[in-house]
Amino acid sequence: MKKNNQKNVKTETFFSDKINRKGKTAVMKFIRPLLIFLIFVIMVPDQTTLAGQQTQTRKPDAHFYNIDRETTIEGQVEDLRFEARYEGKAHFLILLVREKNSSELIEVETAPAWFFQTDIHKGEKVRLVGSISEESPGKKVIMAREIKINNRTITLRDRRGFPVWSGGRGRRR
Amino acid sequence: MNILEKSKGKGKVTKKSLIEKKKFTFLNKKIISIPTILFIICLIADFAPAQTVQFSLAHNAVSNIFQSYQPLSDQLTNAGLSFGGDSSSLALYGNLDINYLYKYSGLSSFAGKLGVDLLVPVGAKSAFYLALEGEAVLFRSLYDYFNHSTIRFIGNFKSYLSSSTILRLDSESRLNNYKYSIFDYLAETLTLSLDNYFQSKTTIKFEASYGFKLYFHPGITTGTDSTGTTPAVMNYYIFSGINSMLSTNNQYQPVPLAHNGPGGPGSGHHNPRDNYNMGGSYSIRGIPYQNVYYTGSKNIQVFSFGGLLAQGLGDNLGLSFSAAKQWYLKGENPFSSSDEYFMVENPTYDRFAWDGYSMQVKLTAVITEKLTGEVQYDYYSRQFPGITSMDLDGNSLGITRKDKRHQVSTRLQLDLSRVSLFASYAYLKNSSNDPWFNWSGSVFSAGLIWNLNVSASR
Repeated sequence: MKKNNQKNVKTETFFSDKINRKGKTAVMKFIRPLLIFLIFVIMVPDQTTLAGQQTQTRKPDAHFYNIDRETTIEGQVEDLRFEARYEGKAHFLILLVREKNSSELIEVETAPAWFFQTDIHKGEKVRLVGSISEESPGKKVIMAREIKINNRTITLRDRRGFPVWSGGRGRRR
Repeated sequence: MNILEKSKGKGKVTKKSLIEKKKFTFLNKKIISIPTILFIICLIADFAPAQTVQFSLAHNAVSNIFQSYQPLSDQLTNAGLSFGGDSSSLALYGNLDINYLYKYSGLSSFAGKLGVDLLVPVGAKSAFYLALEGEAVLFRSLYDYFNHSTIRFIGNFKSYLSSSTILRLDSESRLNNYKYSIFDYLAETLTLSLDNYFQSKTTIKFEASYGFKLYFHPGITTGTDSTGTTPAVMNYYIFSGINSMLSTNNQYQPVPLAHNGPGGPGSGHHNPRDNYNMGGSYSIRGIPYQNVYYTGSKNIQVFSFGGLLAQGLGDNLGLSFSAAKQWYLKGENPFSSSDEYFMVENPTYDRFAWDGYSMQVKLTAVITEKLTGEVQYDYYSRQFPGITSMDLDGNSLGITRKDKRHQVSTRLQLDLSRVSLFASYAYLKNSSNDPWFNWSGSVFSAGLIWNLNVSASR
């Protein structure tokens, strides 16, 4: 037992000349995850680049956000549904909005989170800003960037069209 | 060779060495938990194909931080960083929060949360939402008894019965483990709501909720707590002879814990500033939170029912009125006091601490395209089963504590392209049959929420 103690004392002395035993273990445990993090940051390729290179398989009716085709419409919600828009992605809340001036029925794509976070009903007035496309004659689709409803404005995408919906999607806002 | 083995090698395992080992282990957990959580969150955010990172910052000036009859002011800064929101069905989310108090910095805290959630559609009109998350909250050393870890499971179901009628069922299960183990609990909440929107711009909503909370051991006390540290509170307890407490079934009966009389620590008065320095095992009025000694669990069951009536007034105004009533079905508060600090979570105060009713009136307005405002009035009438009112000398008044509160608040929010700025003011007045909780105060807050774009997404 005495020999083991002497051996262990020597080993500890080697490591703990300047740093006491408690501090060494604490520091090592602090540094370890930090080192792993730094390795990943340096070695792992930029996920933004990878995402850009991937080809998103999308349904034929969907489109990309185009800031050159932004428009503002006001209308009334006629119907809502939860629908798959892009393969491999969550369902989006889709609103059917009857435009105030033209009485045209427009499909509005909001966000996957919005189904749970906001209660919206048929008959509510909305004012929204988004990118519009005419997927087929008579069928207009808007990818909403900003929606004003119930006396509050909800931002779904930034000015470049990138989504800003936040995590914890099941919570009410 | 660790401390314990070295102690064994020397021939004995001392209590001091055990306490040091436990302290050291806990300290290590504290040290590794912060960078580990930070690393995990950054790593996951970095890997996620499409994430939004949101930064929030708020500064609050409070005139009565402990919400007691002797107002003490302080300022709080809250900073938070959250990520999440990927368009995938299964997604990760998380956040880091720092809450810093300037004068009473012992109540400052750091929190980290990580979760995974899943959206499961059921047809075109319904969906399930499931989430599992873990969270750790660390306070500074004076209030590290409030340190806790949480595991939370959330299950929600939302369905459009018609295009204007929504049925929703929410479930939340929560397991909290505190450093001061008397606060440990398991809670379950089930909420059912039904709302309908009418063409007259009227919304009617009804909501019923059942809650169950199980404190695992609110009365446990030993020579040391779970970390091996002797709580200071133990120095002020006087125990009756244990033998006299044994029932005929040889079971230990609850032993009321006495404390020093007026003028001594734990006496139920002094002032909030002095009592704050006694740390997290004491209520702000200077009484140890634990008031009985026994082994065993205690559960509380509550039921609440409420309604909301909202009316749109023109295109830019909205008025709503809501009311709710909560009943205790079973159980009562197991602690000596229920303290509610401003913006600081106190384990003795939550929805299970009281029964009573509340009312709210709110007016919202769209002032300009980007500027919204609201004014709100809240009224609460609450009683706290199991909490006895005391006078300012710490003598029991023999009645259950009852509070009535009036609260007026106003808020302005400016929504820019990626940043939202807000400012708010609130005035609160609380009246109680316990003079310690007769107080008033105001809060001024200002801050921003900034959506930082991370990567492209659909």
